[in-house]
Amino acid sequence: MLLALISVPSLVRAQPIGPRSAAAPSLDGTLGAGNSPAGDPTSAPYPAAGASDPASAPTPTTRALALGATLIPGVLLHGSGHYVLGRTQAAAKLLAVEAVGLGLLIAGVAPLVAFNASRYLSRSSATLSGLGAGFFVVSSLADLYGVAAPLDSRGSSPLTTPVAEAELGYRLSYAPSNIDHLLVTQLDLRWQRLHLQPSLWHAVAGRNSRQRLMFGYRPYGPIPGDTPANDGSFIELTAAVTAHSFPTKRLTTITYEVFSHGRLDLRRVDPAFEGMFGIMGLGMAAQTFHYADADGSDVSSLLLLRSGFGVYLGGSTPPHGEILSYYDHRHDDYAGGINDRAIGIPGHVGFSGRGYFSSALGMSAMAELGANWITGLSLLVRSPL
Amino acid sequence: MRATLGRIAIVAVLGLTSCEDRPGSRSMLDMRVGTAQSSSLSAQVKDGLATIRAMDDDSLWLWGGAPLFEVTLTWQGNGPHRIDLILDNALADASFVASSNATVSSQPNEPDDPPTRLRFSVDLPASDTAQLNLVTPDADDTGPYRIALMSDIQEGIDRVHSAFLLINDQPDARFVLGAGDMAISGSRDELLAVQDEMRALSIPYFTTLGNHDVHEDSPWHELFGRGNFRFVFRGVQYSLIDSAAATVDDVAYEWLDQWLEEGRDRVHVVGMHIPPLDPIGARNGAFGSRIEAGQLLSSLASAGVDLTVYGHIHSYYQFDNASIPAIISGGGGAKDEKLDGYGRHFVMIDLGADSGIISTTLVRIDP
Repeated sequence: MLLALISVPSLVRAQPIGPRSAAAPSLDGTLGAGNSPAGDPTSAPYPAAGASDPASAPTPTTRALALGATLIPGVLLHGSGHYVLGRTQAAAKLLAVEAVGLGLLIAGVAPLVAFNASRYLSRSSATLSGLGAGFFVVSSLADLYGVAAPLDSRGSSPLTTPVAEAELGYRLSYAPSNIDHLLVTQLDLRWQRLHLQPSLWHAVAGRNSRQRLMFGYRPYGPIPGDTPANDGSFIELTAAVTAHSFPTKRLTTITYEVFSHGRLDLRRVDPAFEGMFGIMGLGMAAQTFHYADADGSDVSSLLLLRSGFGVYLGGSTPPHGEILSYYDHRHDDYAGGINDRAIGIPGHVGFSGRGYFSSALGMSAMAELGANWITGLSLLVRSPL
Repeated sequence: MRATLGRIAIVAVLGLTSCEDRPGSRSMLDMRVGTAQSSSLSAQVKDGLATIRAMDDDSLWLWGGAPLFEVTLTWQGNGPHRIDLILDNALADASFVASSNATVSSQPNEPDDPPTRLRFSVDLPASDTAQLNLVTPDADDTGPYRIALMSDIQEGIDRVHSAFLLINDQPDARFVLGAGDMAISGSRDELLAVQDEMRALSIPYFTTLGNHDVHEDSPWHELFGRGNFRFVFRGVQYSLIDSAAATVDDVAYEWLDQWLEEGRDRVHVVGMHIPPLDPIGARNGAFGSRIEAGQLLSSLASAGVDLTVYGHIHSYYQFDNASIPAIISGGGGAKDEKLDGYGRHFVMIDLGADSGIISTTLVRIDP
């Protein structure tokens, strides 16, 4: 789905893709693909980060009304906030994305209900409903952020990635019956379009340790080197193995997974969405459970699905960063799936953010809520962009 | 200490958003089951294995949560006193044996009493405590016997009668073991309707609760007792765990650790509503945390559990988890999983202290 959005811009009436321009378009509702010569990538109508158009800047009253509209009727009619601001085309696009989301959601939930979670249909139902929920939430948050944040305060993505980035951090994992303090080390190594990411999460008390090795290939999007990408949009295909051992529980689990995921800078959909991005990923995994006191192991499949909405902070040079809110369908990690009334079926929700103070140093923070809470901070050290 | 303080702090924060029907709240309710006090009489059911439905100085009404249990009665009056005792949801051949300072005698049932109701009169000594032990003639028999496993009645309440009659027809069945979800929303009316239907059963129905049986003001504990409990019958231990929230409360885990240790040398059946792992992993009708699921199953494997039984998924699955045979039977009448070919069903389990788990047999309710 993300691939389609990136590679077939006309599906979403996107602007021509090209390097960001300093020319700021009018956002009075007349802006659209027709504002720039079709197919002319050098005169793309994207507003640059920091650009503004005083002539069309909404008054505080209008913005307040628009913010209210993102709730009522915006909760049901996504794009209401942009409509109040006069950004009618952007509003229509948000409504369309919401409709796609609802359509997918219904397409997923309907067979789930009709066939009572049939073993033969649950995988496709969960996939469709998860993707649909992702579209639904992204269109809602894009409406809210697009109204709340003036265009001249929006950020943008770096157009290349570092060759190497190291992360050293702390995580607090709270389960009702257990609290773990975890040290996290992770390395991201990129060479051209290849990506290698080993990581280790280790409980200070020694109760568990998680090792993960991920290998990725990025056919599209920012990579290390001197050739900048058009924006932060990317597609990456990954394969990973995760071993999680619990010595005191006499248990080790190993998850083997393939996952394709990506990011779409939403300015491709409409210039009014400058500084925002959506993420989506889909994959499958097999998790094996190895018990010290059992003769055999268990194997259980996992649907991997991730969607989210994020915003860039700052420009392509430091200080800059991004904030992301997301849903992750994983049940095998520290957060797991939401329990209680959700009875474990969905995955978890989370927030993450990262910011770089210089070309080399940065920090990240995260929080996830599933069956367990997990939160933490990391120090980031990277090679120059 | 530091970890405990940290936990208290986090719990305090989480408590702001907690619900009354969280599993931790239910564990607290478990601890209150089987205790009552009137003006001069107090009753205490050991391990909460029966619910005290009503009590005054002259009568006691119990709902059995296990085939065998022990009641301690304390009469604080000046002279000897007789009370009427009604026990519902009991084996028909069960009877109370009293401690030497009291006497208990069976009383005839009334015409509209269900087959699982027993009546007794108990003579209590003045200002003293007496113990009543519920026993059966075969309590010490370690030979094979049968139980029925049935869960997830829910919307099927109006037609569960036929299922109960079919269970009555199963030879040598001693009781029904339930893995939860008798109701749709867990309202009092629904639970009482199930109880009313259970009058057709000739054997008792001992069950844990499911996610549909509880809500913020659920009367489950008042009517049917504990969600977490264990009992031993004819040398086989049954440990039932409240997993209705797709997790197990930490207090219940402490109980389970004890029960697993107790059952290490016994044939041991562990039951709960939501299974730790769904055989269809991508569906995840299971614990929210695979980590917790794996750790629980590892504990069961370490303790040599012989059989795990679950409900929640409205179909029939037979598989192994942590090399322990497992059954999911959610065919009590709830909307059934389509395309699976099972429909309404229950499972007969043949087992014994000497022989272990002998066999499990699927019984379809509808022809």
